[in-house]
Amino acid sequence: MEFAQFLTYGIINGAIYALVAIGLALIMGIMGIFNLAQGSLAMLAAYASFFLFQRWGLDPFLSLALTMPAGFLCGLLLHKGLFEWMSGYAPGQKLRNSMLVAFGLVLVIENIATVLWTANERCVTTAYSGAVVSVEGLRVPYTGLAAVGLSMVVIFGLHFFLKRTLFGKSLWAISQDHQTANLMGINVRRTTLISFGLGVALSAAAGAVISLYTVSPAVGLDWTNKALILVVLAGVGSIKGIFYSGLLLGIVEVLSVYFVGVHYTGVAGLVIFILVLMFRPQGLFGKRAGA
Amino acid sequence: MLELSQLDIYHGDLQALWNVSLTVRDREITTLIGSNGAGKSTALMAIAGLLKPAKGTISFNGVRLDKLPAHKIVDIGISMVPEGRRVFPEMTVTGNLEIGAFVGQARRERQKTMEWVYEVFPKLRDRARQQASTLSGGEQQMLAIGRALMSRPRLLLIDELSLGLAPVVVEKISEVLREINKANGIGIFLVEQNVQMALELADTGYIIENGRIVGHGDAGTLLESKEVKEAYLGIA
Repeated sequence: MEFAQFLTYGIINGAIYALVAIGLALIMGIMGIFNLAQGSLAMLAAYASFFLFQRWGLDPFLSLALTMPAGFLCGLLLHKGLFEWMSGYAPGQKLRNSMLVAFGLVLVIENIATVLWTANERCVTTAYSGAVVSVEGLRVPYTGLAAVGLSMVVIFGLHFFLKRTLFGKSLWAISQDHQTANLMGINVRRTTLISFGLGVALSAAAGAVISLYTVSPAVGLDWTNKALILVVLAGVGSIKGIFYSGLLLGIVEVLSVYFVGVHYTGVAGLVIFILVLMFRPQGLFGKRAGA
Repeated sequence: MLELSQLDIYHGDLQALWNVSLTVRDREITTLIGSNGAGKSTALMAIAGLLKPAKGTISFNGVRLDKLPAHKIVDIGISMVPEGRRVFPEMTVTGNLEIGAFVGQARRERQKTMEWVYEVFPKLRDRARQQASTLSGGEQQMLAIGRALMSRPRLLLIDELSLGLAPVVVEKISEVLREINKANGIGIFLVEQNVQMALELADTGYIIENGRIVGHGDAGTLLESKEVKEAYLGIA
């Protein structure tokens, strides 16, 4: 039973990782921009959820109605101000430049967060924070259950949106050949702007969940690190793969705690990250180059 | 009618087109022939809005194209089949065709237009759910043309139709284009290195060398001219 309990926590953690990673996967997959600040933006959103709860008692899941549109607007501004100028660059150059710009953004966000809210750890404690639902002896926290639900809705909803709507298909088209997409009448500039906004709005969804656990200015890069592992595991461009990769990482981490010890949690993730890079560089759910 | 008037175009510091003027009449097939690097694709990219001229104008039925962004050009009735097909490789045939009907009226009529494209290229119907990257070169060219037709254009721009394709496939696709032109009145502006094929297909031809138009006239007459035979067909 103890093993099953560990697995349950692994699934919950993995779903949260996937929620943080989905914005990065979208922005990287569609635009080739490596937004290293994705975790830091999620951290900002977590603070927003924290203060909306503290000030007006707004539940973090309800405050998504405010934080996600705010994240979207923030994404539009960031893209206009920091990333749009590199839109005509070759993919490798764009990736490198965006990584450097985003790293600068991480430092700015972290420092602003430290000045505004100090380095202390905070979290939202709702009425249901400590509550669990028991199933056959398994204890599943309500917060974890809600996090898994939100993660599934966001990721599978995004997958459906990209595959089934004409706007989603235009995003896929841009990710494959932005010049030809332009010839088809797609306003590439506007569409990439909107998808960057969407990517940051998704980090706001992750922020709501993070606020239920621990938020401090330093957690941003840790979350980006997890998100990057997931993007590599899933393969760039695989949206559903992010969810499954999140579950895999979460489960591998708890298994390492169960069998090896708590100090090796981070190492386990990095080991599978390296193994995938070595033996399946296109990712577990991505397509081989040229296939 | 498409008109290019005294067009100068640069790639960075390098001038690629010099004072280029040409006319593509409605419902006709016009070709621009020339060797590799002569400036054919540059002219086409300028019409499609991907390159902006330093001097001169491009207009289509009185609308100035050189002032419009690329994504607006398709909406006024010009659609392009780019060099090397450039289908969206990870999308299915149907997905590619749907993206071709992204704008305006074409979006509303896309099911009807798709049926028409499938009638024009029955092979695409057989491959409808297949990923574009798995198609043969000829099928990809059909898809690229079908995708361009999905916007219901009045003028189709085709960059190097024959590139990398077997002669028999080129012949088949040429026949389809001739049929589309005659039956639907869609004008075609074909940029091509395969001079024989292009002039046989076209009504009017232009010859470009080193970024300058050096000759034009009736395609049949050009095909029979001594200059074309010597310079492009290797017939002394």
